[in-house]
Amino acid sequence: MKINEELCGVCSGCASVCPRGAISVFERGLTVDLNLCNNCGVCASVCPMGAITVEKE
Amino acid sequence: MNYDLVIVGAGPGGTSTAISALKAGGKVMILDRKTNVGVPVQCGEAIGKTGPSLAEIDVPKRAVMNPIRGFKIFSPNLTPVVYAKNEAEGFIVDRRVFDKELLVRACELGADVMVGANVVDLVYEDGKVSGVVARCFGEKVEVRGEVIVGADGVNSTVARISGLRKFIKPRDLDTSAQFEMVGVNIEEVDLMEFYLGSKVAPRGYVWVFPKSENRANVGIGIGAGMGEKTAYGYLMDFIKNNPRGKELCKDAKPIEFRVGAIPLGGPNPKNVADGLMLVGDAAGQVHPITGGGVGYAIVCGSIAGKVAMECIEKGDVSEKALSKYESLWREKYGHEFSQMLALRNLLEETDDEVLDDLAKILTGENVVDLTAGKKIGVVLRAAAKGNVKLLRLLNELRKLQLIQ
Repeated sequence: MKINEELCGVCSGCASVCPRGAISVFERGLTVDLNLCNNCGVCASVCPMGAITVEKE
Repeated sequence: MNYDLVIVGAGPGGTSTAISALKAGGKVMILDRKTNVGVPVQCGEAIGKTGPSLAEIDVPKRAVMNPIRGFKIFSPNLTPVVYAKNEAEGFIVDRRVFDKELLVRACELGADVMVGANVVDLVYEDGKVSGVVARCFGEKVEVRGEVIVGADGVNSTVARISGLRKFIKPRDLDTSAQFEMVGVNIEEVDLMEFYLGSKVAPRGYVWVFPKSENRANVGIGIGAGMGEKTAYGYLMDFIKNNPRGKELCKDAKPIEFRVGAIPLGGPNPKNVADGLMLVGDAAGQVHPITGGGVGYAIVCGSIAGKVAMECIEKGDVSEKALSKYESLWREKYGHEFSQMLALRNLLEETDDEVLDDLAKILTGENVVDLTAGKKIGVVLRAAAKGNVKLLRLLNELRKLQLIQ
């Protein structure tokens, strides 16, 4: 998955729904642990800005 | 130093927990990930009416921007339902000031504070939570306390690590976007406006909350992933294309844009563990329909702080002892939350045309009663006579004990 930083408003919705805890939220942005992420796409579905894209394998 | 309470999160839930513990003689540390507490604002900034009373909340005077004496709700075809009292029953506040003022109160009562402290782990001792590990300005810090309070919001690290809420199901989340605008063509400065409809805001609403004669928060919350567009997309559609939205906003200039996430699927099954309590959004203490949470966080936090100090004084901070907090807050709001969750699910399945018909027969008082879990009158069923779909909805409301 990829986060478009120009669109992300750091609401932390994506992190709160991630079943694997792969997204960490900081004051100014997010980091994604790609080792934990399995591209399930749930984060993208809740983003208010459409800032997350998930590439289907 | 060993604290009585270590509170993670300096929002209304955290500071109210702190204030009540400090008043009971506790030693308190508050940590917040942000270096600027209360910023960015992630809130529509309306306080009052549903949920705890203004007397219970003790709104900081400096945070009040505009008194509110009612609302207009617009159904999908823009049929209005109006509720307007002669006197203010709520406020639009400035959350930057609101949160800071509560933190100042806590500090003045003796709380220690660390800003820019990102909690990354919990410390366990003999199976009991006994501290937190935080990253603060490049350093690793450990803070110990008798009771750790997770008041760290929708994406609560404390809830996740403790296992009390590992993650939120998308359908239990609302996702939100909001402009603060100047030059809004506000009709009545002391009435809030709400807009409903599957095309306006699927399982949610658009709000217009006036902060002054020409300045307002224009925002939206929708069920996460429930529409064809993003929350931002629906909000822009309202501003540009909705007959009322475009009139309201045609001269408006955005001075701020914010996004947010609201956990409105009801409270976590459990919000206490040995040495641990959750408060506010972290606990899911949010009205499932309005998405309002500030008042609940403040009242539940006050209960949490008091119970924590009682337990510490008795030398027992086990889950069993701390569960007094859980029973007390559920006694106040548990029924309301579960009933409103059922109402939310019912409204989610209700067609736009039925909402339009409902708007024709509901009064503003009816809406206030419904969202407070109070029964509304039989007169509605007489008014809905012959309208099968509407009668079916009213029948469902009766099953929820929301109609006589």
